Amino acid sequence: MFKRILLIGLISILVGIHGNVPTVNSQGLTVVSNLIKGDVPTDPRSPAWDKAESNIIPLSSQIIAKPRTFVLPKGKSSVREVNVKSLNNGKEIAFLLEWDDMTENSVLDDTAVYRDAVALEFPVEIPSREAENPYFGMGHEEVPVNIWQWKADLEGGRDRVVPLGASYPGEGLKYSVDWYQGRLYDLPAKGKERKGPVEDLNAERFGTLTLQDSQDVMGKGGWSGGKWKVVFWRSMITRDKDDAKFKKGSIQPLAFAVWDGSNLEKDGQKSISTWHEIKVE
Amino acid sequence: MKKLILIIPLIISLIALSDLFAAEKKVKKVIHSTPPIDYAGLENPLTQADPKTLPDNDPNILAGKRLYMATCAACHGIRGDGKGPEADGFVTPVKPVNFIDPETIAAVDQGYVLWRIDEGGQDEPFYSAMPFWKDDFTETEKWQIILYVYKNAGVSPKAK
Repeated sequence: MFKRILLIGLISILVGIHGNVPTVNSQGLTVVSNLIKGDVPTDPRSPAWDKAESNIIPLSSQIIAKPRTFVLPKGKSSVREVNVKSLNNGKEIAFLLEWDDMTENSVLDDTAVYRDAVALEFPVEIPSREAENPYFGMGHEEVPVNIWQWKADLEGGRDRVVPLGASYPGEGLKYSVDWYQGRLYDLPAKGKERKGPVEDLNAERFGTLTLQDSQDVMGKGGWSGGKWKVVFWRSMITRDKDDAKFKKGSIQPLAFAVWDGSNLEKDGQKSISTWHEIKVE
Repeated sequence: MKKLILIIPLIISLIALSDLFAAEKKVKKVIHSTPPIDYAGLENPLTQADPKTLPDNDPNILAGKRLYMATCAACHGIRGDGKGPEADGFVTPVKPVNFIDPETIAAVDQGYVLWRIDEGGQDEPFYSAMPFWKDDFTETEKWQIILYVYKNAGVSPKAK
């Protein structure tokens, strides 16, 4: 018995010393979209999310393209991490994003602040190797990205009165200026309307953000107790060639952006991540 | 006891072997791209001295330090170790460069560093978060930053 204890102790010490070797990870995190039966949860508070793996993604201030976050009054963006979960049922895929934000900024008539928002980014085409990834900052020429942006000011039914791409009810007929994002949008063809508080977009570089004619992403968000919880969901495959594709077993990059309106973050002034990856079970 | 005599050397051998592989993994090989002809072999017009040997109160070092702290330290860190407060989110494809690492700025000349400051990392082959600073600094300011980057990291540019 004594010998056995001695042996176990010796092994533990040796393995313990060996296991203390620090490791470096510069590969990013793998978010697994867990396969479930039945409908994917579309409510951020659904207990179904308890089944999903939790991943904390570190964020940094967007300092690459102008206007950089250096010029914000605080000199940087606010949100330092976002927690992401994903579930799919083989037909639809859903993401839950949660992050700390002490102020809910979801009304745009308060001119002292901007809206809170969050976005997911995927390559339009699944790259076969890392070297074929689009640039994580809004893609690059001929290697576009698909961006799903949820905007807090479109929650609570406001998505039904604000034209797609606009910030205010009743704006424009042929085009609309989103003053808060500082962009000029062409409004999609007549008959295309918002389906919810998420905009389905493409980009091929900073400053090329474009609304898709086909808005295929749904979303729902809520703020409580200093935390935003936002769900995005979409069919895994759509008819739109400009949409990201998801299929069983696929692995592809994904990246994140968060805007804190109370920190005067808008457009390129935001917290961002570089590429991580999403693996669909 | 016989078992113990057999098992202990086996465990030690396995650990030694796995350490060998781990050591192999730790051998890094940073491959530096070839800079455009305009930057190749450029010398710092402010001084021919090794930046590492310049005094702390050298006017170019002081100017470079002020600019570095305002713009570079956010990612590359106050010490130049690549661990600035904004580094955490920029993990792929490469983290902000650790200037203290002998395989980074010590392995290239100052012209190469000027190229990286001018053009940043948005394009091939880097695709990194490094902004391009071409239009944000004067040529003198860029060379001052370069002097401070070497001085701060305590490394010398690659000898010609």
